[in-house]
Amino acid sequence: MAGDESFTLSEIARRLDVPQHRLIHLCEKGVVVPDVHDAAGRGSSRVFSSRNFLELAVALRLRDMMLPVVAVGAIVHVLRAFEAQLQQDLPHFALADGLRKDRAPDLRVIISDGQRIYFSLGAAGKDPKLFGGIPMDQLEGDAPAWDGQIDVVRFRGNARNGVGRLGPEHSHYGRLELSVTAVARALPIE
Amino acid sequence: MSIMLAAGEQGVVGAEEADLALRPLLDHIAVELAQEYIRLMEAAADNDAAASLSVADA
Repeated sequence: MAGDESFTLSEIARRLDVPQHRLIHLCEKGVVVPDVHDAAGRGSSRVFSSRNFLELAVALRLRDMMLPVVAVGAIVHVLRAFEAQLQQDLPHFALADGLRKDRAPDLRVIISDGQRIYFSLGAAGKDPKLFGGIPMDQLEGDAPAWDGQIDVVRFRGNARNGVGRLGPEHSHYGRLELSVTAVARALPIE
Repeated sequence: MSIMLAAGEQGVVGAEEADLALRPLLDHIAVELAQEYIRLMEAAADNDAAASLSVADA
């Protein structure tokens, strides 16, 4: 897949087998901003990059899990900033391409107890490292500014006996987990 | 599905507006993810190089 490949909205809708209005909604809410060309009035059309394609696929999966749009937007923002940060060291890095490589680390999004968003990153078969968590109740517009503190959580096993906590992030009651790497590898691009 | 989505979308502000306050946190997480990604890729490359050397020695 070429990193500079572009896609129309109808093409992505067809390839992901979803109605176009679901993609339009994600754009209008600011979750995904078309890299190539945004709609600018009647008759103009949105054109997306391969990273946008991945963003839309991830966003749709998260919406299928009933995650609020504002939380999906925060997750997509991190993915976009993640790629931009990597491009400072690796100028030709493209997120969708990078995650589709055989040896690519597994990047996951974890929703803990419906309250916090974490990201995990690790090599296949190894303990992942956790990053987060983002308080979902502070994602609304009037949230106080971040105070510079961040949770540091290391993998400490996954309790399954009903006594301990769940997952590497130690959720108390429940968790949702989405592999961004798996979504990237399943992208119908080639 | 469409009914549930429509109900859930009422009163939702745009994502670009909503995360303004937490944007520094989101960007900080992205930086840490990028550093870890590079570390993992370098470790994988080192492992590949070590495996190649051991095959050559055998």
